[in-house]
Amino acid sequence: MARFRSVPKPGEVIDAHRLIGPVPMDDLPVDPRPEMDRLGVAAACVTHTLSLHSDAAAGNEALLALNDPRLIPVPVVVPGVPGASTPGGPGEVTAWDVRMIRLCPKRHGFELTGPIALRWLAALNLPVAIDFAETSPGELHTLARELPGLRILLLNPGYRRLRAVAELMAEIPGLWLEMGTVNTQGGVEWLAGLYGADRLVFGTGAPVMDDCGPRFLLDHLALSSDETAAIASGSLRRLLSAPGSDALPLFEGPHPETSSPPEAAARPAAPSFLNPSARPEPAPLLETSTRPETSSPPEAPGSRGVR
Amino acid sequence: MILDAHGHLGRWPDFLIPDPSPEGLVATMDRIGVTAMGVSDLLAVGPDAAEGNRRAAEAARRFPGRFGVWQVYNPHHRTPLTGGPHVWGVKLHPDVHECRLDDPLYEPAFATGLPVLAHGQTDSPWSDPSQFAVVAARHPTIPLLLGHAGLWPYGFARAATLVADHPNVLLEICGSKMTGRWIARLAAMVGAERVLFGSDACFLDLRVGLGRVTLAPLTEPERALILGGNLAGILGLHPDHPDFDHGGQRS
Repeated sequence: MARFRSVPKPGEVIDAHRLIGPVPMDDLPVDPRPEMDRLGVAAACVTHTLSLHSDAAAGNEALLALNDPRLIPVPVVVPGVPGASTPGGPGEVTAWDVRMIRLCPKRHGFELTGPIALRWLAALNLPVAIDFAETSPGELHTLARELPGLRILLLNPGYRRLRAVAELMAEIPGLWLEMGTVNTQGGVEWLAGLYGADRLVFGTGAPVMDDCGPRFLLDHLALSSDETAAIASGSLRRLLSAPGSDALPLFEGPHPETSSPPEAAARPAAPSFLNPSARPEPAPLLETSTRPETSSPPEAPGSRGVR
Repeated sequence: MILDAHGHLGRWPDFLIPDPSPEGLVATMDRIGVTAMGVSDLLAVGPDAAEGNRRAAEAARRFPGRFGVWQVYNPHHRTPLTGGPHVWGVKLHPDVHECRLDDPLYEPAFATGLPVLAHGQTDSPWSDPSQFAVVAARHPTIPLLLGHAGLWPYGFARAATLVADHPNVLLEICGSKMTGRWIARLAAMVGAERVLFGSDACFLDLRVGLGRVTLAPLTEPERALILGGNLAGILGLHPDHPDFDHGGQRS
């Protein structure tokens, strides 16, 4: 009988979806790098939690100050009329010189397929990461129809709407899928067989979402080594590499048994209240029982009796 | 010996399960070293417990040592609980059956004296963890597995607190919102000897469930307890027992 490994395989693994910074509903690590080291994740696309839970501009400022090549910044863009957008216009986004942006139309209250968002996205020509909970299949079909060259990374697709997700992949050639929440038996292999591993990317949503399970799954997929390597980082490299742009540097995978946490000097130079390295150590685990239980149920109506 | 406390066979109406077969599960178990899995057939969780239980028993017979059966008890149908060499215990799903866990209608399930695995969902009118405390007090000698440890992250710590004083309640940790970090937290709160690995496969992916424990920030003794030691103790399984086949399960 096969033996499971308790240590992830070394190699280039890039997490397409991680958060940096504090969240209001739990006591979670604010700096993703120690956990990335422990799990053998060489680099990650990161969004700052302030951009999701507070002020998009403040989060982007903290994110863009990080200056760590292992952390690929994915700032949050809020298209809108002057005075209502983040940042002020597409030109400022271009000046950031980032490889991907994130949109949160539901959270930030704008129309993903409205005229302003479409004009911004057409002008930017950047890959766009969108959480499935922030949009709908119909909206994504419209977006792809209006901007057929747009590259979309669908985050957190889950497993409950696998049929709708498969339809999106079938109809939108420019849609890539984060696989960390495709959590039904054989779901990743099923999608890879239909649409190719080169459209699936390893991503977790950690630390709010789990990274241990998806990382283990990556090492135990019933796919060829080439397909697994594509999901580990190759597909994301293709997604993030616009024609004519610089190639993404190769990240040597830190082996979890030998790597050490990043040096403090390499950590962000952002203002201290935005700077993860300046935050106090997390409270002991036992104290989690006293935290406020104010989170809303994360699953949609109809989840009764399910997992 | 890795024992999965919470598995399923078959299809479920809400969404697509690409591979719901026992063959597929066994192949995955072989790939990652899972010795045996306790399963209920999803037909049994749904409208036909008797036929679903028969299917689960048939799978256990086809794959000796790889599946234990959680026989589903539907309180409305008063499902016969037949027992048998493959049976690990009784599965209750208060939410699907729309019958509160603390309803006396479930008494025949507890009367078997077998371990009981029940779906546990925070804030559900049917299976909130507070009801596990009530039932555990009624049946202090019955091992009661709190399935999903409350299901939602905002309820994990509360579930652990509610059952802390009921040592016959164990936290089974499968679910789409569980994390390796939360598994370590729960082990710190109630002790690793009261946390059980479950995957919810084929409903969920077995590898994701196992990976959460395998890569969770636990000590190795804690991990060994959660991955199989605790459940082996509940079920009376021991890998060196002569009655056990290659999977370490009673044949």
